[in-house]
Amino acid sequence: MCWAVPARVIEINDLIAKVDFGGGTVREILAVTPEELSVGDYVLVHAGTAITKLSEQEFLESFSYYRDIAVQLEVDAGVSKRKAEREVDRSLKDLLGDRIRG
Amino acid sequence: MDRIRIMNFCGTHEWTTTHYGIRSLLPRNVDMISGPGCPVCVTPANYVDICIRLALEGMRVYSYGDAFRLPNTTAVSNARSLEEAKALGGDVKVVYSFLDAIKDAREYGKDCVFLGIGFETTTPSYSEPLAHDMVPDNLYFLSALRLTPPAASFALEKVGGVDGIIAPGHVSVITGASAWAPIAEKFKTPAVVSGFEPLDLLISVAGVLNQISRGEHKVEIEYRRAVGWEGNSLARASIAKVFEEADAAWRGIGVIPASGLEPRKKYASHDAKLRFGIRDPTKKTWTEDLPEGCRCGEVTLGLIKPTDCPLFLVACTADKPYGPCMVSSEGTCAVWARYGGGGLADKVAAETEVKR
Repeated sequence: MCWAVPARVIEINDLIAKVDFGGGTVREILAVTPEELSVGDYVLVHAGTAITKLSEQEFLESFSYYRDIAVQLEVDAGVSKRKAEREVDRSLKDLLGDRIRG
Repeated sequence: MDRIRIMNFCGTHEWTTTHYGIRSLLPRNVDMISGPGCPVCVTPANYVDICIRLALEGMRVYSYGDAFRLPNTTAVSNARSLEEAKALGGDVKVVYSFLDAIKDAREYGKDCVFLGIGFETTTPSYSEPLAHDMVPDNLYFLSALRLTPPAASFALEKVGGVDGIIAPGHVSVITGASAWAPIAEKFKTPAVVSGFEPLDLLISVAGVLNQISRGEHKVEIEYRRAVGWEGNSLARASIAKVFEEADAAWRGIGVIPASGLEPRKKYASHDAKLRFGIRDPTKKTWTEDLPEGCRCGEVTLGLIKPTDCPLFLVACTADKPYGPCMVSSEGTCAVWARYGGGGLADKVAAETEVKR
C-alpha cells in the first residue's frame, strides 16, 4: 500500500503537478513537498501525491552510511580498519567518481 | 545471542524480503519477522459492511483497488466484498487517488463516500485537499487511517524478544525517522529506516546487526535519498490541521490506543461517520471481525507465520482469498503465497550453495 515510485515533474501549478512516470504515463497529482518544485525535478509519488523531492545530493549522502557498514563488515572479517577504509573508499570512488567527497 | 529476530513494519519490505529471497541470504540464526505493515489487512470489517450496504443502496463508493476485494465477515445482501457488491449492481468505483475521486464526485453531484484507508504515507493525499477546501460538499470521507508507530509498539510488546527493527521507508518520509526514536528507546532495539530495493534491505539488516554487536539502539537512516529526521513538514502540518488522534480498531487485533486519525470538528461536514451514523467500537465493545478460522490478526502482529495457519493455501489462496492478509498484494499471506515464503527461496539457495 505504501508503495511510491519516482516521476519527473513536467508542469507545476500551485498544489497540482503533472508528472511523467516514464513509458508514456503522465498523470496529474497533488504536490505535498516542503521544497518548492520546478519542472525537471524528480519526486516520489504515492497514491497520486508527491510526498518528497528526490535530490542527487541526498542520494550521494546515502553512501556515507553504506561506507560505514561496508567498513565494519570488513573489520568483522578480520581486515584492519585502515585497510578496510582504504578498500571501501576505492570501490566507492570507482562507482561514483568525483561526485562524492572523501 | 542464539537467534536474532528483526521485525519489519511495511508490506513492501515483506514483499522485497520474500520476492528476492533475502531470508535465504542471511545467516541461519537471523529471522525476519513481518509485523503490522498493511493498512488494507487491518481495515475493520464493519467499514466494508457499511460501504457494501451504501453501494447496494445506490450510493457511489470510491475505493482503492486493494480494498476492492477485501472480504467481509458475513455477507451483506449476498455480497462479501465491494467487488461482489459491484457485480450485483452496486455503485463502486476504483480510483487511483483521492484527487481522482474529488474530480469524479464534482461531476457526479450526488452524495458519495470514499473509503479512506492508509498509514501516514497516504494521509497527506487526504489532508491536503481537505485543508485547501478542494473536496466538494457531496463527498464524504470514511476514515480508516491508522498510525504505524503505535501498532509497531503494540506488536513488539506482544511478540517480545525482538532484537532489531527495519522501519518503514515511506511512512518515515512523512513522519521523519524521529518517529522511531521512542520505540528504539523503549524496547532498547536498534532501528534502521530502510528503502525498498533488495540492496537497501540487506544494508539495513547489516546496520541493525552492526548496532547489536556494538550494544547500541539508535535510529539510523539507510533510505537517506528520501527520508530525513523530521519528515515532510508541509504534510505533517496539514495532517495535524485536519485530523486528530483517536483510539482505533485494527481488524483481527482489537483497539489500539491513539492509533487512528479522525477528522477534526472543523471538517465534520465531510465526515462519513457522522453523516451515516457509523460508530467505532471501544476496547469493551470490540468483537472479533475476521472470517471464522482466519488467523490474520496473529499473522499481522508477527505472532505466527502464514504457514502456521491451517487455511493458508488450502481454503485461502491468492485467487480466492478468505482472509484480509491474502487480499492486498502486500499482505503477508499474499506475499508468501505468491513468492513461496522461505521454502522456495531456501531451495534455490541450497542449489546454488549460497548457504553452505
